[in-house]
Amino acid sequence: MAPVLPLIANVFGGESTRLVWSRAFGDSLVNSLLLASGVATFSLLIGLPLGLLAALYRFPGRSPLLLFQALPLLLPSFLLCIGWSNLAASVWPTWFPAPSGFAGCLFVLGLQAVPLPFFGTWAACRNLTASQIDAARLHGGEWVVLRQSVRFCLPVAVLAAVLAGILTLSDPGAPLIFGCRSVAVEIRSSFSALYDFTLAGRQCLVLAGLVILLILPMMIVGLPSLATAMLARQTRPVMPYSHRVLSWVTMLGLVTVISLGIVIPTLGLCLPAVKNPMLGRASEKLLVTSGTTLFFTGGAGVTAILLALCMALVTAKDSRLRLFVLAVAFMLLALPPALAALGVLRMATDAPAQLDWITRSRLSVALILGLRFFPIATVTMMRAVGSLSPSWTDAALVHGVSWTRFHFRVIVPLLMPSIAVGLLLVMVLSAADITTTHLLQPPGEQSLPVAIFTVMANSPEGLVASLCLVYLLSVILLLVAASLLPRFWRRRLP
Amino acid sequence: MKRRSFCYLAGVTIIKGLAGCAGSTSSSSSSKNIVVYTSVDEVFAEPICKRFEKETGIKVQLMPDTEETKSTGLLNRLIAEKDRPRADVFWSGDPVRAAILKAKGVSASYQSPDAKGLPTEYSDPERYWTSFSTRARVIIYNKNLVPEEKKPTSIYDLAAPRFKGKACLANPLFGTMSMHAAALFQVLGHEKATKFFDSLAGNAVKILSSNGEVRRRVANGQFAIGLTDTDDVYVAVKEGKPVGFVYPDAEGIGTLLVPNAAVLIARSPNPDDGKKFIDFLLRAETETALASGEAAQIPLRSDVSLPNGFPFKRVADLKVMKVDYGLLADKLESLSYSFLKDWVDKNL
Amino acid sequence: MNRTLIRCRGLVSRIGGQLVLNGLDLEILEGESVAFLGKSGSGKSTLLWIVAGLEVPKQGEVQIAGVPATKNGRMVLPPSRRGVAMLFQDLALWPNLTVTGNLRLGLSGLRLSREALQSRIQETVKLCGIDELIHRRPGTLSGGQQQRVALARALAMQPKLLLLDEPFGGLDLLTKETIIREIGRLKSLLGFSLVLVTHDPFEVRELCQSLAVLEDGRIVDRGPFDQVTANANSLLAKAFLEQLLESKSTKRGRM
Repeated sequence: MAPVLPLIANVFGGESTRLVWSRAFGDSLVNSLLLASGVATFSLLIGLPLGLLAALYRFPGRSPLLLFQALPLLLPSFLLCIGWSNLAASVWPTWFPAPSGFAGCLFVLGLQAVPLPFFGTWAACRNLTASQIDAARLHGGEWVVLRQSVRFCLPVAVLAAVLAGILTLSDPGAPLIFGCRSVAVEIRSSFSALYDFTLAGRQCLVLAGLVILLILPMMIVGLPSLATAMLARQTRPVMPYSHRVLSWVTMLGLVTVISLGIVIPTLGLCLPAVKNPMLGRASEKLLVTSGTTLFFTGGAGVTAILLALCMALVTAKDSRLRLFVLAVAFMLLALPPALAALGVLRMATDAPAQLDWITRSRLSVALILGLRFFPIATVTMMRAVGSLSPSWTDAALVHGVSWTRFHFRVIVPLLMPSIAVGLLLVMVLSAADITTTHLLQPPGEQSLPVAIFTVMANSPEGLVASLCLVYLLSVILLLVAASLLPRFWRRRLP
Repeated sequence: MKRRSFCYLAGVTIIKGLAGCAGSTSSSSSSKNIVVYTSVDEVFAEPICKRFEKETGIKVQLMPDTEETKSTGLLNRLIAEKDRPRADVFWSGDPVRAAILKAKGVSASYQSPDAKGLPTEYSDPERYWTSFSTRARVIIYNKNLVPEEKKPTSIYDLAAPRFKGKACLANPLFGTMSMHAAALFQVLGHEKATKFFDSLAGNAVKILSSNGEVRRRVANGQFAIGLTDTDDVYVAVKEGKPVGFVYPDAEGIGTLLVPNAAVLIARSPNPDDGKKFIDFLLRAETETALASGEAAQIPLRSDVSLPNGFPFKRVADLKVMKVDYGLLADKLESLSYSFLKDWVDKNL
Repeated sequence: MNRTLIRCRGLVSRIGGQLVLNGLDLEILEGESVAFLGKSGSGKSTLLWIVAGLEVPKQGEVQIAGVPATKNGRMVLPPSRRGVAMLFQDLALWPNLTVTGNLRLGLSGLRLSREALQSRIQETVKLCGIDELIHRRPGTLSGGQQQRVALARALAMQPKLLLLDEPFGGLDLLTKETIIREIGRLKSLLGFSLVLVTHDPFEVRELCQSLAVLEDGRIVDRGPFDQVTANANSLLAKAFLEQLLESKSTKRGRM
C-alpha cells in the first residue's frame, strides 16, 4: 500500500473542485456493479461444475486442457473484444447478434473470469480426502459424490467468482470497445480527458472503498471455509476417476470454454496475419523488447514470490493472521492498477535524484508490478507451505539447526515447484498489465505488450496480428514450462 | 564448492542488474542523450529520431503513447513529473495537448530559428508550442456501401437519414475527435454545435473507442461512413481496403487541420539538446520526410515538395476551418465536464 | 542410585482452550526407560513436547540435569541445548536430503569441526548399520530403513534422553521387533534415558522398565512395573499391566 499513500495525500489535499459524485458517476457505478454481479454469476455457473468435474474425473487431454484454462486470464480483455469485433466484421452469421454493449461485455468478461472459480473449485476439491470421496461413492454413486463435493467447494467457488466480478470494476477495456458505461471508463475520463488527478484519485478511492465494503463481510463469513478448502493438508489426495459419461462431459465442457474464451477471439485477432503475415517484423520486435519484458516480468515475479514466501512462512502457524493476510491480499488485487502507478510517479518526482535508480528505473516497474500481483503469489505460497509437514520444523528445532540453514537447505528446495509456478504466473499476469507498465517504464524501455499497444493505432493489421500471435505463443510456452517444472523437480526428489 | 559458486554468481548478477537499472536512469543525464515523449505514432516518429541521431550524434530515447484510449496517457505522466521532469521535449500529435501543458505550467517558451516559413496561425503566439506537419479530419467511407455519387461531403451527412445507424465516430472525450468537437463549438457556437451533436444522436451514430476503430469498422463494412484522421485513412488505403475519403465542408466551415506541435519541457534535464531536437523537427526537411514516409502528413509550408502519388491535398488547396488552437484547450476542458460528457453518457 | 535427569513441577498446559496438563509433577532418572500411558487426549504427547522444548507450559517448571529449562511460562533452555533427541510419529526425515545430508544437517547445531562432524557421522552410520543407505533419499527407503535412519539422526547427537512419540506405526510386526531390539541394544551401549509414548504393550515390554500413567492432566501411577502392579490407581494401568503380563508369559512360552 506504500505507493498509494502519496496519491491518497494528494487526493485529500488536491485542488479539484469537481464533485466526485455526479449523476454520470453514479449511473456508471450502478452499471458496473450490475456487470460485476453478472460476471460473477456467469463465471460461477460455468466454473464451479467444470472445476468439480475436472478434479474428480479422468478425461482425455487432461493436462493441456487444464493448462489452457488459465489462458483467458492472461490476456487483456480488450484484446479479446477486438478479436470478437474482427470476427463480427468478417465471418459472423448475420442471423446471430454480434457481441456488443452490456451483453457483449458480460459475455467476454464472464468467459475471461471462468478460470478463477474453476481453479478455486479444482484446488478445493483436491483437498477432499480420497476416503471421503470413496465413502460417498459407495453410499450413493456419482450423484452423492457431486452433491457432497459441491457443498465443500461452494464457499471457495463463490469467493473466487466474486473476486472475478470485482476485478472487472477496474477494467475499462471491454466497456470501451463494446460501448458500455462503466466506472472504470469514468475514472479514465478524469485522467485522460479532464487531466484531473485529484478527481480521478477520489473516484478511485470511492471505488476502492466500495470494493472493501463488498469484500469484507464475505471475507469474515466465508474466509475460514476458504482457508480450509484452499490451503493444503496432509491427506491422501483424491485420484481422478474414470466415468463413461462424466469424463466426456468434462472434456467437452473444457473444450467449449477454451474455444469461446480464448481460441475464437484469438483467431479473430490474428485473422489479418493470415492475409498479411509479418512474422519477421514481429519476431524482430520480440527480440528487441524481450530483455525489458523479461526484466519487468521476472523482477515482478521475484518480488511477488519473495514477499509471498515471507508472508506464508510467518503465518504458517497462526490461522487468524493467515486469514487477515488473505483478506488484505484480495482487497489489494481489486484496486484499480493506475492508483498505485500514479502514486509511484508522484513519489518519484518528489524524491531526490539520488533515488532515481529505484524510483525511476526498470526496477521500480518490476517492484510495483510485483506488489500488484503479490496477492496471487501469496495464495500459491500459502498453499505450498501448508503442504509441508510441521514435524520437519520441529526436528530442526530439536537438532538446533539454524533458521536460515534449515530454510535454505530444506524448505526452499521443497517449495521450488510451487515457487516456479507462482513466479511464472505472476510473470504472465504482469506482462498483461499495460497501465502500470506504460505509466512507469523509463523512456526507451518498452515491453512487448506495451509495444503492441503502441503500434496498434496505425500499423498494418498484419503486423499487429503477428505481434499478438507472437505474444500469445510466448505466454503459452511459459505456461507449458510452468506445468512441466513440478514434474521435472519431482523426478529429482522421489 | 558448488554452493559458493552459485552464491557468487547470484551476487554478481544482482549487482549487475541493479547497476543496469541505474544505468538506464543515468544515461539521460549525460549531454549526448535526450528524452522525447510523443503522442505521434511510433512508426512515424522513430525514423525522424533516427535521422536526428545520425546527424547530431545525440541519442534520442523515445517514449511513445499507446493506443490512446487504453491508457491514462503520456500527458498524465508529464503533468505528474512536472516538478522534476524526465522528458526534454514533447512531440505532440495535436496542438490541444500542447496548450494543456502550457496551462499546467509544464512547458517552456522557445522561439526556434528553424520555425521560419511555418505559418504562425497554427502555433502559440508566446511560442510555448510550434506547429508543423499536419493531419486533417476527414470523412472515411466504404466504397462498397456508398456509391460515388452519394458520398458524404459534410460532417452534417453523419446525421443524414441515408446513413442512419451506419455512421460512426471516435469517443469525443479523447484524442483528435475531442479536438474536433471543441473546434465545432468554437466555430459554430454553442447552440448550433449542440444541435449538431443531438442530430447525430438522433441518427444513431455509433461512438467507437478510437479513430483506428473507426477506420477498421468502416473498412470492414460494419459502418458506411466515419470521422477519422488522414493517417488512419492512409493505413486503410495502403492495405488495399475498399475505402475513400472526403475533406468535409469544402463549401462551408471547412476542414479541421490537426498539426503536430513541438514543445520544450520546462526544467528539463537537457534543455539545449532539447532545443536542437525542436529545431530539427521544425525544419523543412522533416516536413518532407513526414510527407514521404508512412505518415503521409501534409506539410504546413507551401514550398515543401510532395512525393509522387501523395494522397492528400496541400494546405493551400484546402478550405481550412478557422480555429484559435490556443483557446481550444479551455473549450475542451469545460465541454468534457459538461455537454460532451453528458452526450457520451447518453449515447454510448 | 541414579541422579534425576528430568524434573517437572506443577506443569499446566492448555490446547485450544482445553486444560491438558493440570499441575503435573514428574521425575525421570538417568538411564531410566519410562513408558507414558494414558487415554487419547490425556496429554502424553504434550508432556513429551514440553520436555523436548517444543512447547512451553502456561505454568510450571522443567529442569534438565538440575538446570532450569522452562520456568514461569518462559523457555530458558532452547530444545537444541537440552541434550534431548526425538523420534517423531512421522519420523520427520527431511525428504530432499540424502541420509548423509539428514545426519549432517541434524548435527549442524552442535557446531563441530569438519573432521569431528565426519567422524561422528561415520560412527553413527556404523553403529546403526545403515552404511548401504547413506546416499539414498528417505522417499526411496522402506519403513524399517527410514526408522533406522531417523534413529541414527537422533543418536548422532549423543543425547542424554531419547523421546519416542509413537514412532512405530505402520510397521509390520517383524520390522517393529527388529527396530525395537536395535533401540534396546543401543540404549544399553550408550546409556541414554528413554521415554516412550505408546498404546502397545509389546513395545513397553521390550523397551521400558517403568511407566507413568496420565489421567486428568496428572500422573496417577508411576514407577517400575511390579510396583505399579501392586498399587495401581487407574483402571488403565491395571488393564495395561494385565496385558503386559500376558504377553510376557506368551513370550516365555514361545521361548
